Amino acid sequence: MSLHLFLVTGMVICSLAAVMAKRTIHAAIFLALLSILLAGVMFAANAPWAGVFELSVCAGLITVLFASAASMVGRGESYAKREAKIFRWLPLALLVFGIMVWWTAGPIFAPLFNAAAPNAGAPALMSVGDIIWKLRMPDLLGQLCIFVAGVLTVRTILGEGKDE
Amino acid sequence: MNSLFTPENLQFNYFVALMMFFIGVYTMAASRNLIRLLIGLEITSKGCMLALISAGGAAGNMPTAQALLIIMISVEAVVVAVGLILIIRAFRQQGNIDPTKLSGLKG
Repeated sequence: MSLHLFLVTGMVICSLAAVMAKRTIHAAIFLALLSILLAGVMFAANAPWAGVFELSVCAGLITVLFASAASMVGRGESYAKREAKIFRWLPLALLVFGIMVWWTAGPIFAPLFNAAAPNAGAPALMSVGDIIWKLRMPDLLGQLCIFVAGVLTVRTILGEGKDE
Repeated sequence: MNSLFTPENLQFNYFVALMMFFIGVYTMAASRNLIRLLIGLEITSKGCMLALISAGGAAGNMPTAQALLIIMISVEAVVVAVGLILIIRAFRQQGNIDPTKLSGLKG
């Protein structure tokens, strides 16, 4: 079994385990595992910068956020039985969906996979930093605006809690 | 060429990305736990990331794919932080995290 197959199949298994886990804290842990596997795919695909971000932000920070939230709303987990009933059918639904996609979308998109891109495998002309700072500057500014909006939202909501 | 981007592996990558997208959407549609709903959103975005990195590798333009992924990851962190703060706030006010029972703003 190749490393690629192991990583990508593990991602589906971790996704299923994350949504089917009875406790939210376990779901957060499976989500972290999913992020680690995705980071592995990124490293294998020669994308180390994205891999490092995925490991530190998604597998680290976001997992901590989910774990904290799960511990704060611990009493809100009285839906476990109902949730288990709903997600019992998920593997079957996923199997049906997978078979449908494999037999229908595969042949339709096969020419796309078989056509080699003209510059596939060629060395990159620009570095990631150059692309972010020069080509994707509007994206960067938008990202900055989202950061500021996020910080202000969190501050406002937490501030309201203190007043009460 | 990286062995990850052979036609067979690419097809499998896109297939897995679609499966993860399905799992995420199913969770967001079916779950009545707001935290699990956010986890569904995360899984959907991870599927998109896998498709994006496969497309970047196949097109031979990995630096652009990496730049987009970095921006996507940081935006995702903000979305999750704000979402979780809203969930905690709703839980403190209403005592539950079932979206169907959060009817405080109902007209």
